[in-house]
Amino acid sequence: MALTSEDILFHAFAAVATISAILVVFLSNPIYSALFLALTMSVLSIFYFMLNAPFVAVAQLTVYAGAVMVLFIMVVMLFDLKREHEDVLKISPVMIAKIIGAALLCGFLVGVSWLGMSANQNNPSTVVAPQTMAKDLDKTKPVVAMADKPENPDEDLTAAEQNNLVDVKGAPETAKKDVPTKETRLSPDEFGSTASLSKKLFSKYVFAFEAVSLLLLVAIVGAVALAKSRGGTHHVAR
Amino acid sequence: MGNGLLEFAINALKIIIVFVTIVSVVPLLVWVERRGSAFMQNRLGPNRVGPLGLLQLLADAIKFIFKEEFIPDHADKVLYFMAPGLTLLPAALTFAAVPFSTPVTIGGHTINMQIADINVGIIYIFAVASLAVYGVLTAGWSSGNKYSLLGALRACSQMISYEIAMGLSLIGVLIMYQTFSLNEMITAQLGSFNFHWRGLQYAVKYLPAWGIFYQPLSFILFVTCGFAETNRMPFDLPEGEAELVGGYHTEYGGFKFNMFFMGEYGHMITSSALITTLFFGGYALPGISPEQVAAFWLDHGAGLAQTLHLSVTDTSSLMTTLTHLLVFCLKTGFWLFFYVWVRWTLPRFRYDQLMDLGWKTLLPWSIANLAISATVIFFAHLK
Repeated sequence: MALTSEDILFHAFAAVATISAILVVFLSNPIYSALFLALTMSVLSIFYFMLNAPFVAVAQLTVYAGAVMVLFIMVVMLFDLKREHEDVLKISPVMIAKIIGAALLCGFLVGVSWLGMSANQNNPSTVVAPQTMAKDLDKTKPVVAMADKPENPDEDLTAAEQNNLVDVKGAPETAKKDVPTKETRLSPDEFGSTASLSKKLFSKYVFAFEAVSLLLLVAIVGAVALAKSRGGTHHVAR
Repeated sequence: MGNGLLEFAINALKIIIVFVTIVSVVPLLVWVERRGSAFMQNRLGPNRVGPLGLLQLLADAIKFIFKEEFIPDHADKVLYFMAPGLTLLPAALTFAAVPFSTPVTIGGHTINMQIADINVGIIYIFAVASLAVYGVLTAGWSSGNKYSLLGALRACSQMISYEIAMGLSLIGVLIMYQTFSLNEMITAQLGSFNFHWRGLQYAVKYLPAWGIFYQPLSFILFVTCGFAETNRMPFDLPEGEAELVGGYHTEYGGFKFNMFFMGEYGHMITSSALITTLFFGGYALPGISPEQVAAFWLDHGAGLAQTLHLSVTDTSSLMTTLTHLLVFCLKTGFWLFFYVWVRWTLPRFRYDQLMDLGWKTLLPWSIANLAISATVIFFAHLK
């Protein structure tokens, strides 16, 4: 398969994302770490753009790179970085415990991803980028297309189709009949568009959406309560 | 392949032309600012170099370039050099989503007069503009100067605070246009002022359907926040020279300082273009649709077509684009002048007043605007 310009861009940005993510962990200066984390977030938003989800991309950029990381950096800038730097380089029992903890976490993550990969090998399903999927769908027979992405086949079906979804899954014969035709499927342009996203968000996933916003509200109230209590988070017992 | 290459070349050319235009408008703006301020304060302003002092810009540019490169001792060198670029980059990137004229069709080739037609245009601009904070923060921190750091922190908290009010003030407008695409917003503002109310239609013939007439409160809030986002008077606390020497760019000189300067003016240009597009019909003439302009040039462009050696339709398309480009420049130019005008009219806020205005006045008002717009639009659509 020939490399398209999109592939080249993807690999270039993937390299940037990976390297900057590694640098976040390995740089000893917290300002640089935070800046590289911001870079990682920005590159992730480019990936969302490439996956035809511009709204998610822009939200990622605004929320993470534009707001969260800015606050991080603002706070880090007020620290005495020289002392922090020395603390990082000093070998102490706490430091060794931290390293062991990090190593255990890494091992756990590697193990989980390895298990996931071997499970994927048994199961031929692969996650395909929505653009290529939509392109393939036009060519291939719809039944094959359904088998392509069994995890969440309703991802790019219209609301009308979702009602039939159980039938489609259950019986391949009926699936052939009320096959998702080109008209009823979302076109690549519509996929990930703000309108289709908000329709899903405020109808099917409205409970999850509201639950998450409630969670964030609780976190904000908690943060304010902590900051207001005597001494706050900066309280140090002397 | 050849076609793709042509498209690539056209896009590259567009990017270069737009960037060069923005960068070269900056010195002109500085001239307008200095002459304008002098006029408003009953002074003369720069009038020695060249006609009307216009060559002063050139002299300034040469001075900027040939100044000594100076790096403070305590500076973090990498970030110190990176910060001016980080400021200029978002300012240049935001303009990419602004449509500045109708598409031109020449020889069967259609060229959009917009660098990238992003269907989430308006949020893209907000997202990229929010990255401008990094330039300010890194500049202030890397200079290794307490005044710079304080200026940077001030600038940062100001920009974040006003971003919220700015975003919320626009949601009413977005609900009304029902789109994020700036092109579709301009199309929605064609024709005369009209609205539906429970199945009936009302129209005011002599008023264009501009956003400002539908969302006046949103317009006021947006422009106010625009001043704060661009760090302009009366919100230029980040560089309040009476308290902070020069704010986050105290330690910068020569061309690096110039880049901060260009960044500020770049933001001004983009926000003026945004005000034009969101509230004043964009590149469209009031009451005259682009189709009518094209028809006019079809009728009157025959002689011009002969001199240009182009077909009549191509000439009409080209002239329509140029007409709308002129309209866009005039509208944007007015708002740029407005920025200068306000700078020399209003005094600077105090820091606590600035924060009070952002959080206790603009934010509640923009939420109120959102609630009222949503309710009105909901009921207006009921049959």
